[in-house]
Parts: sequence; structure tokens; C-alpha cells
Amino acid sequence: MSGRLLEFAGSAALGAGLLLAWVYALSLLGLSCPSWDPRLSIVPRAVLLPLGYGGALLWALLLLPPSLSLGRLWLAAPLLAFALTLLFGDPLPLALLSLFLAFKGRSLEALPAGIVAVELVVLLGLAAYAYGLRPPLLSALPLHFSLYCFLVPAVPALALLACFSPLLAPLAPRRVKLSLPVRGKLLLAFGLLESFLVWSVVYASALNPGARLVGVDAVTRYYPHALQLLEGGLPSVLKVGYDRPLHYLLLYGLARALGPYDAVRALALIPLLLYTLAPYLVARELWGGRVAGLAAAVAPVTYTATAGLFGGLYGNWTALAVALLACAAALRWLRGGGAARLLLYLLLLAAAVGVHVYMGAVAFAAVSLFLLLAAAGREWRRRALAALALQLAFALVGLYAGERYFSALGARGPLSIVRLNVNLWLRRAASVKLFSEQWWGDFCFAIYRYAATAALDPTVWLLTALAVAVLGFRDLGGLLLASWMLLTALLALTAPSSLIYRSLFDFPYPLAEAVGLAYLAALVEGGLGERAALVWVAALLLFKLGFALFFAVGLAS
Amino acid sequence: MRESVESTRVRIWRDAEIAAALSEASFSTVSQGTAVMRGWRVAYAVAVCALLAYALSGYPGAAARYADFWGGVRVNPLDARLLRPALLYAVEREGGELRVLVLRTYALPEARNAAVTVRVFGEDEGEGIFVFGERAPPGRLLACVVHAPAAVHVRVEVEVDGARVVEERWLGGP
Repeated sequence: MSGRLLEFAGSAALGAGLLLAWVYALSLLGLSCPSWDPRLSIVPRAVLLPLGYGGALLWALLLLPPSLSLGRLWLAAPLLAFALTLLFGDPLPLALLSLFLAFKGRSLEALPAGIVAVELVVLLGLAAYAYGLRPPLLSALPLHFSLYCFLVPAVPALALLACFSPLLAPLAPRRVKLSLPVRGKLLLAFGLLESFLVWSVVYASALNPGARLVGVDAVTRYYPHALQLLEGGLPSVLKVGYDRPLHYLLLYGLARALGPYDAVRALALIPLLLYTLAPYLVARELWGGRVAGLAAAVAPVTYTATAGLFGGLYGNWTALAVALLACAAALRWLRGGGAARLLLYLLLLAAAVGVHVYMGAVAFAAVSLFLLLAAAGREWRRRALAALALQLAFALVGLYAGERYFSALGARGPLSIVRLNVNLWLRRAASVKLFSEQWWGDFCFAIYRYAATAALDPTVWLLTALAVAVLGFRDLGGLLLASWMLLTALLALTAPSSLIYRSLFDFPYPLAEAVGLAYLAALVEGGLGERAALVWVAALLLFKLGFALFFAVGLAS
Repeated sequence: MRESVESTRVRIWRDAEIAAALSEASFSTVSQGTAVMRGWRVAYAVAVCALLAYALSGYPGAAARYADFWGGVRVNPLDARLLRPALLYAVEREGGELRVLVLRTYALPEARNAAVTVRVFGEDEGEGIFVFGERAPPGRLLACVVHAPAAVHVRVEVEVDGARVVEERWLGGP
């Protein structure tokens, strides 16, 4: 055990040395990384290496263990590089030695170990900052920025690649192996812990001592509406929350129990927890417990969570989680039958629409497409067609009844909401020239500014593109992700500029990212062994947690 | 008896020939099928690449508008000033105005505000004082613009969370 730890420490030391060399290269280029600040909006932060001579000495010391592995004589190399660094007043010798040692050693294992070490320091620093501690340490944030800032100029293109990913499916390898050397339930517990951590940084930390409301809709919609609901009582739920009645019923209950202010704060925690559990259940049906654990660990730190917290999109987010629960029931129905499962599926799908009409409608369309594609295969045809027919009938009756009932109340009915949105969309689609510079201007605005840097985590788009492409249209998982992505892409590519980031929000990223991570883990395991796969997965998960926590700190401070 | 053995042999030979011919034919059909599939795959890959290239053609122009998001500053990592909470990065003269650029470093990472005092000295020993209260998260480059057409010397004091940094710079003539 201690031998393994020492070996990991050696790998981490080499990896940290490599990362320092990488930041040195980026600081020579003079790169910045945009981040969110509540008073300044988006601030470019310089990617610097605040080394000093003490830092250079530390860098040289980090290179001692990997040098020793080459032979005792090599121990002189880091000291020589340090001396040359002092002589030239530039850390180029240390950077070159790091590269050389990485070339000689097992760099593909060392790099993720270094990322794990760096991200742990970043997370400790962020947690200390959030809870009012002041450790006498320099911030490791530049190292965190260096992991993704070079991809920031390409993030809109990566988002487009994710939208195009179903087209890449025929080019992907035929056989896909998913692997993960971690227990799923452990990762589920980690995901739930992450949910609490992200929420507490926003609402229960030293950064936000008065626990002011955070998130656009939290301030502009939910709080004033909670007051209206308390004033109007239960009958006002349908009038105030005509486009999300079930969610407003929940808000009303919470406001009655906790008061309007705390109700809105609690409203943020509900989708974080529900959206951690729902992808776990779906992924467990599709790919087993281990990939499900990954989906749970990714859910509270993916684009849905960061954009959801920034926009206060609690209704959309909760509806997406409920729709995923419906998918889990649908998958059980397709595989094993049972009227109770089918009924549960239909009820959950209706609940998703009731929680948020727009998000529910998107989920309804995505699942309908999924069932249609599933019906093409002989194995699931009968059950898929039965579910599809029932849900369409259910929807028609619901629309008719809802329209009549809401009209009688003087509130806007679901059909008129759908008609309004469709008209808005059609007007935009008719006027836009797809992929023109103006279109890209809107798309870049949505990625960079509208979601306030929430979309800048490149792993969301890369892992999603990878997963949808490699799964293709083969099994139920591939069909579900591909059909959902087809719909999301259709909406995001044609949406009015203010709705692009919300259209991108409609996709269940944790499912795709979990598959992408498990696929990468299988590739690494095949080439480098199980331990290397584990370290790569840990590095990517910790990077995502660091990104989300830094974003939450930015929102709250 | 002998005849029947011969005829059986011939039949076996013929059967073997037919089998070989059949397997050759089926093999060539499969290989032709694979080649056709490969051809379709390549054609599809080319079509997807062309679509991606077309889709991305408008991207560079639009992304260039956000260049200030990823363009930053260059400082030698061994510069000891990086270990203090701020440093004077540059002083630029634009007409009668001075742009004093102060870099908030990553020291004191919890501090979010900075007070910047710019003292401008002219040739005639006249002095101007300008005070700025700035939101300064770590890594931000602050720009303080002052009107000082006759300035020859600038002294910048930055206070971050109680820590004070003072730097001076001589300027060329106006």
C-alpha cells in the first residue's frame, strides 16, 4: 500500500512538473482565461506562473523522484536545471528537464496524477476561501486555468461538434467497450456530496453571509412569485405558474413551510439532488452500476448545473431530472414489460411536462423520437409502439383538457404556449442564415456571455460528442442519446440568440459524459492498465468539480 | 467395383472443385462488399468533413470579437513582484492621457478589491493625484486612465486587503 502511494507520489511529482512546464509555455504566450464575477460580469484572468526563486526550487525538488528512477547520477539534473534557471533568470531549463523526464518516464500516467494533485490543491483553496479560512498559500488557480484556457477560443466550435455528433456515428468504431474500475455506489455518494457542496458554496458559505439569492430567475421570477403565491393561496398556483404548475405547487409548499426567501434557496437544492439521482437510474438501466456512478458524479458539476445555477433555471432542471426518471421507467418497460412500469413512465413524463411545459415538451419529443427509433428494431417494436401510441394519446387529451381548463381560469393554456414558442422559433428559423458569421456571432454570444462562462468547460462538449458518436444508433442507450441530441441540435442551431444557451441546456449531459469517460477509461485500461484508467477518470472528475466549484464561488462572491 | 471407386473419386474431385469455386465466389463477393462498404464510409467521411468545414467557415470572424477574453499579459515567472498582490504592468501614453495598467496577481487570492492611487509628476514639479477603487479579482488587468499631458513620472500605489505595493516609472517627454 505504502509502495503504491510512493509510486503515485512520484507520478504526481512528475505530472506537476509537466503542468508547471505547460503553464510556463502558456504564460510565454500571454493567455488569459475568462471567468465570472458578479460585479464585473466576465473577467479575463491572466494565466501566470507566480514562481519566484522559492517556487523554482520547489519545481526542481519535484523533479528529483522521476530523475532518481533514471539512475543516481541523474539526481544532479534537477539541481543543475535549477542553477541554470537562476543563472538565466528564466525557468526554461526546468521546463525542458520536465519534458525530458516525461518523455523518458510514463508521462501518460504522470500527467493525470499531476492533474489530481493540482486539482486537490485548487479544491482545498476554493473550499478554504468559501468558508472564510485564509491558508498562507499562493493560489493554484493559474494551473487550473491552464488545463482548459487554450481550448476557450474553440469552445463554440466544440459545442457545434457535440450537436453534429449523431452524424459522426457511422464513422466510429463498431465495438465499444465501457469500463470503470470504481464502484458505482461510491460514485453516487460522491455525486450527492458534490451536490451539497456546490449548493452550500452558493448559499451557506462565508462568500454569501446574508444568503442573498443567486441566479437570474431566483431573483426575478421565483422570489416575487413566491410572494404572489403566498398572497393568492393555492388557487394562484395555476395562474402565476401557468407554464410550470407542478413546480409552483412545490414552491408554494416550500414557501408556506420555510418562508419565501428560504423556499427559493431550497428550490436550488432540489434539482441538484434529483438530477444526480435520475441519470444514475437511467445509466444503471443502460450500462450498469459503474457507468451509472460516473453519471451521478458528473451530474452536479456539468453544464446543466453551472448554467442552471447561473440562470436560476430550477424549473427546467427539475423537469429534465423528472424526464430522466421517466426514461428509466421506459427502459424497464421496453426490456421487461409490465403495465405498472408503463403507467409509471406515462405519469413521470406527464409530471415532467407539469414541472416545466417547455422542458417537458422537449423531453416528450426526444423520448417520442427514441421510441420511434427503438420500434425499428424487432426486439422492442411492440412495446415501443405501445408506449408511443399511449403517450401521444395522453398528450392530445392533456392538451385539450389543459386548454379548456386554463382558458376557463383566464390563464394561458399549454397549447397557446406551444404555439407562441413555435411561432417565435419559426420566425427566427426563417430569418437566420445557418452558419453565417452573424449566426456564429449569436452562437458565440450564447456560449461566452449568455451563460456567463458556464459553457466553457470543454470536457462537456468533447465527452458528449465522443459518447454520442461511439454509441451511434445501436442499442437503447445509443438511440436515447442520439435522438435527444438530434432534437437539442435542431433547437440550438435555430433558436433566437437569447434561447441558444437554454436549448443547449435541454440535453442530459451526465449520461453522455459518463459514457465518454467510461469509453476513455476502457481505452486507457487496454493500453496502460487499470490503475492508469482510474487516475485518468479521477483527474477528469476532479477537473470538472474544480470548474463547477470555481464557477459557484464566482456566483456567490 | 473399380469403376465405382473411380466414379466416386471423380465425384469427390468435382465436389471439391465446385466447393472451391463456390467459396472463391463467395469470398470475392464478401471482399467486393467490404470494398464497397469502405468506399461508402470514405465518401461519408468526406461529406461530413465538408459539412463541418462549411459550418465552421463563419466561425473565426465571429470568435475574433472575443479575442480579449483569451489575450492576456506576459510576465517572467521569476519576477518577484508576482509574489506581491499587485504589480505595475505598463504605463501607456495616448495623446494627453495615461493608461496605467496594474496587474492583480494571485497573491492574497481571497481579496477582491483594490485601491489604486496614481500620482503624476510633471517637469515643472506639479503633481496630480488620482484615486481609483477597483474590483480586482486575482489575475485581472486593471486599467486606470488619467488625463496628464505633461507627465514625466508616475508613482502608483496599490492597496489590496491592507497590503500596499508602490511602484514608480519614468516616462518619456510628452
